[in-house]
This record gives sequence, structure tokens and C-alpha cells, in this order.
Amino acid sequence: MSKLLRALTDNRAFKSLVRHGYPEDARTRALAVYSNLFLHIHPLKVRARAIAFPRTFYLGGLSAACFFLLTLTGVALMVFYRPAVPQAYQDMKDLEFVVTLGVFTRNLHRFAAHAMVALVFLHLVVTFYRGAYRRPREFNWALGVALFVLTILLSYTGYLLPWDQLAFWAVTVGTKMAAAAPWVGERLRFLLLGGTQIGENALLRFYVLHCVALPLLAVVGIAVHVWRLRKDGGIYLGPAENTPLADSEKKAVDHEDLVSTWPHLLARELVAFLGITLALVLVSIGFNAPLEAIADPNLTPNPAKAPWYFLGLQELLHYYSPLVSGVVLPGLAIAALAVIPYFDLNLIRAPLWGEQRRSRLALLWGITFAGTGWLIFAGAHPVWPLIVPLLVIAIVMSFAALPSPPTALGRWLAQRSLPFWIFTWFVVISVALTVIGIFFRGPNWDYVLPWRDGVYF
Amino acid sequence: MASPTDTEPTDQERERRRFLLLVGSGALGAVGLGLAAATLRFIEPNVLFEEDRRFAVGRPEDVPVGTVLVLVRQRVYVVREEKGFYALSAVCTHLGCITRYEAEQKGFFCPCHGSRYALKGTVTGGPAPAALVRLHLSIEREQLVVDAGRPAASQALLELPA
Ligand code: HEM
Ligand code: FES
Repeated sequence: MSKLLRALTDNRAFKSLVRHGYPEDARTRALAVYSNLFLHIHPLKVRARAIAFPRTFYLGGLSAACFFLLTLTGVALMVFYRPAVPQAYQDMKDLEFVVTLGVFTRNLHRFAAHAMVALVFLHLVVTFYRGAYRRPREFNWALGVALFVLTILLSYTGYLLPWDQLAFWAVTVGTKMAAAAPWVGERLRFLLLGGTQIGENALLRFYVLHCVALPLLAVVGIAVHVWRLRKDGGIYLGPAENTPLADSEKKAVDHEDLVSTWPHLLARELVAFLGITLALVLVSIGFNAPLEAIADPNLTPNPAKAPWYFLGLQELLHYYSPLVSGVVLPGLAIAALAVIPYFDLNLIRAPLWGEQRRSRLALLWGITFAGTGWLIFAGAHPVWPLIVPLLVIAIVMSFAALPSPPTALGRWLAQRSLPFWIFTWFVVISVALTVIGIFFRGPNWDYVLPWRDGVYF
Repeated sequence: MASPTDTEPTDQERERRRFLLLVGSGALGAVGLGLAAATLRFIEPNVLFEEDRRFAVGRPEDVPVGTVLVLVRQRVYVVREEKGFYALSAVCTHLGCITRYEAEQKGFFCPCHGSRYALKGTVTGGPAPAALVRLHLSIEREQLVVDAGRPAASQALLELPA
């Protein structure tokens, strides 16, 4: 074996490619990372603690893996796809019935796209709860929020391309929502569609965005994101990282658990990549991506649902005008997410309660009551999926404010910061609205029970 | 041009360079803005190949009072009432789905977010912000003609007593 490997790597051709030969000792392992354009986005050594799976669950890496799979399958699909009416739909049917592995490729592309949206959201949530959004990582966090939006846009522009009923009506509703933006909305919709109706112009524009413009932005964004991760000191290891150490201690701690990137980090990345690929391949063999009848601008299906990650917004549309639920609320949520780390809002170790307990509790309940009032009366119906989490969180916060919390859980809650509570509310309502939109809404956007009436999806 | 060297600049030179840097980046920024504006203008279509939205429905005397014509392809309803005709766009004013006519309930209904409209086009339920748009109607060569690209006043009626 070692003879064979030597024969393969110990020759002029291989060495012209990889000067130091196959890396087997500390020096060549360092060189392998250092001298390779792609690998040198990593440092030469990483902390064993940082690359442990339970720290990040590799969610960012898995998102990147999905993006890679999407690029491969996407380029393959482009060979058979024409962004024109009605060819686009015919090409989908061809992929389904006459192209070898056509269904599989389409399935893989579709399921990897869904997986990426979910993984990026989970990555955002986990990164927040780990506290990794704080200085010096605030820029990378804001960039991450931009990547989250970009991921959704990529998925959404792809949604129109099959030109079936699902695609057509999801995009009708989505672009009308954009049109509700003040001043620029109508014009934005006109530019996006290349006209006033969803037709061939719109299909071509979505195609260009989906296959060229947005992926290019995503590649650059992801590269900067991973590079900044390294420049910001690698994966966040907890509050101790920020405590100044004596110089003598520093040396000891610094070298304590450093391991070389090749093979320790790279092997983990490879396994993670193979794992998600295997999972998606299995799903793609077992299930087929939906394809409904060809788009018919005269016939709206009932119910007409947007893609699942927009069903939270679509549920909001039931309560508020398109301006509020399609532009103002999501815009505020995205902006708030991006700027969280730039406000040193009661970050760790400054207890939220303490001296000003009474006045802060009064403020909390003032805001809660005002918010509940707004949520009950401002919309077409009371917005229960927002009201209930608001009240529950305010109650839990008040318990955490008791002078001496009785249990360990109480003490833990007492130490949570304000951003923690706001973010938790955001996560709970996004999930609640989305789950209601997916499972509990049927024809006419009336309530249904999924176990009794089935899922309209 | 002098060959490049790495000598330390004097304070005066520094000042000059900073000035040039600001002027230069300002100029580049202006070019960037201009390019962005030009690109925006470029992607805005000047000519649209969208279908003509004027069409003839038929002879008005053939439509009995109380009829609701559902013109699926054109996404238009034409209603004949006692005093005359009016045409409604079938496009829901909420987010653009196509409404349906429900004969038993004498109204229109949107499948997307559940808006309901009366026969007159006024909102009777759901999130729709405005009544269905009335469309321009005329009689040309004895034919009833709808211009679906041309909205009419909210009470517009083509008077034509039965
Ligand atoms: C296209 C989407 C994204 C990709 C491909 C991506 C990729 C990555 C990767 C590979 C890492 C290394 C750690 C890990 O594997 O989990 C990472 C870390 C990080 N990501 Fe992302 N990410 C994306 C979106 C986001 C989003 C939406 C946020 C939050 C708003 C975010 C914020 C961060 C931060 C702050 C770190 C540093 C974590 C730490 O220091 O522990 N990223 N990202
Ligand atoms: S589009 Fe008709 S109710 Fe929303």
C-alpha cells in the first residue's frame, strides 16, 4: 500500500501540483493547508474544543455543503432547461419522463434547497444562543443575516422556474407583497417581472437571478464569512475567551488543545459533507419533488400557498395589510437581527433585574399590555400566534425576576439577557406562524386539522 | 515617472495624498452611482409584448337581466342588472389571485386568503383592501366591449335599460 501511494505521489507530475508530497508529518500537514488556495481559508491549526460537533452542530458547514450540492445539480439541470413559456414546463416533464436520472437530479436539487433554508435558519439560531454573535464577531453575524436573506431569495427565484401552478401563484402573491412597499414597491415589481404580468419576461429574469446573479453573491458572501470566522479568532468558545489572562497563563491555554487542520478539521468536514449528501440522496430516491399542472393565469388553486418558509408571512397576511405583513414586519425583523450585536443591550453578566427590578418589571408589563392591545385590535383578527408567546415570555421573565429564584432553572433564567428574550420571542413566533401556515390552513385559508382534513401543502 | 521607492512621505505629501484619495474615491463613487442608475434603466423594458386587453363580449340584447358572465380567459366578470351593465376585474385586490364566482352565494370569492366580494364588487369579508376594480365598458358596432386595461369609476355603469 505505502509503495503504491509512494508511486502515485512521489513523482514529478504530482509534485508539480503539490510540492510537498502527500502530507504525513506536522510540517507537510501545515504546508498542505498553507499552500493550497482553497484550504488556506482555514488556519493551520484549530482548537479541538472548537471543532467538536456539539458546539456548532456544523450547521454552517452543512449549509455550505448544501450550497455545493445545489451548484452541481443546478448546472446539470441547466442542460435540459429553457426559461421560456411553455418550454420550461415541458422541460420539467422531460426531466421527469425521458431524461435518465432526471427525476433524481431534480429531486436532489429541490430537497437540498429546502434543507439549506432550514439549516441556515438553525445555524442562525444556534449561533445566537451560543452567544457567538457578540464582538468581535458582530460583522460576521450581520453578514450572516444577509446570507440568510440571500438563501431565501435563491430558493424563491428557483421556485418559479418549473412554471407550474404552484410556482406561478406563489410568485404572484410574493411579488404583489413586494409591490406594497412604499414609494419603490410598484417599480420594484415592474423591474423584477420585466412587465406588469408574470410571463416570459419574469421567467427569464428569475432565471438570471437564480442561476447567475444570486449564486455569485452567495459564493462571495460565504467566502468572506468563513474567512472572517478565521480572522475573528475562530469558533467562539464561551465567555472565558474574553477574560484577560496573565501572559504566563496565556501561553499554556493557547497551546493546550491546538490540533492540525489536516487531518482533524478536514476529516470532520468531509464526514459532515458525506453525511448530508447521503441523507439528501436517500430522500431524493424515496420522494419526488412536486410538479403540478402547467401554470394557468386564469385559475388560482385553492388554497394557493407560498413555499413553506414563506407560510409564516402568508399567515400574517391574513391579519394585516400586505404593507404591514409583507414589508414592515419582516423588514423590521431582519434589521433587528442584523443590529443586535451592535447595541450592547444588557449583554452577559449584567443582570437584567437587580436594583431596578420594580421599574423594569413595570416597563416590561407596560410594553406587554400595549403590544397585546395592538395585536388584538390593529389587525383583521387578534393575532394569537404572536400574543400567546408574548404573554408566556413576559410571565416567565417575571418569574425569573423574583429576588431569589427557587430552582436551578430559575437561576439560569434569571441570568438571561434582554436580547435572549427578544430573540426567543422571534424564534417562537416564526415557528408558530410557519407551522400554522403549513399544517393548519386549508382551502379559503380557513383553519383545518391536519390529522382530520389532511395537509394542504 | 519616477521609479517606485518606499521612502517615508512628508506630512505635506501625506496631506496631499489624503486629499487626492478623497477626491478620487468621490469620483469613483459617482461613477459607481451612475453605473447603477444606468443598469437600473437598462433592465427596465421600454416595449412590452403583453396582450391587448380589449375584447368584445357579444350583443348586449342577448344577455338577460341577472346574468353574471364569467370570462375565464380574460379574467373579467360582466354583470347585467336592471339598469345596465358593469364589468369587474376578477383579480383580487389583495394580492392578485383570481377570484371565483359563486352562484349560490351571489358573490365572488378569493381562494388565496379568503377575501369575499358582493356582486357589485364591494368587499364583504377577508383582507382585501378595496372593491374589485370596475372596468371600462362601451358599445362598439352593436357589441359590448370591455377594456380590461382601463379601470373605470367605482360605480361605473353602462346604462342600457332592459
Ligand atoms: C449561506 C449561509 C451560511 C453559510 C454557508 C455559513 C457558513 C458558516 C460556517 C462554515 C461557519 C463555521 C461554523 C459552523 O460550521 O457552524 C460559520 C460560522 C458563523 N456563522 Fe455562518 N453561515 C451562513 C449563514 C449565517 C447566518 C444566517 C448567520 C447569523 C445571522 C451566521 C453567523 C455566523 C457566525 C457569527 C459564525 C461564527 C460562529 C462562532 O464563532 O462560533 N452565518 N458560518
Ligand atoms: S389575494 Fe385574494 S385574498 Fe389574498
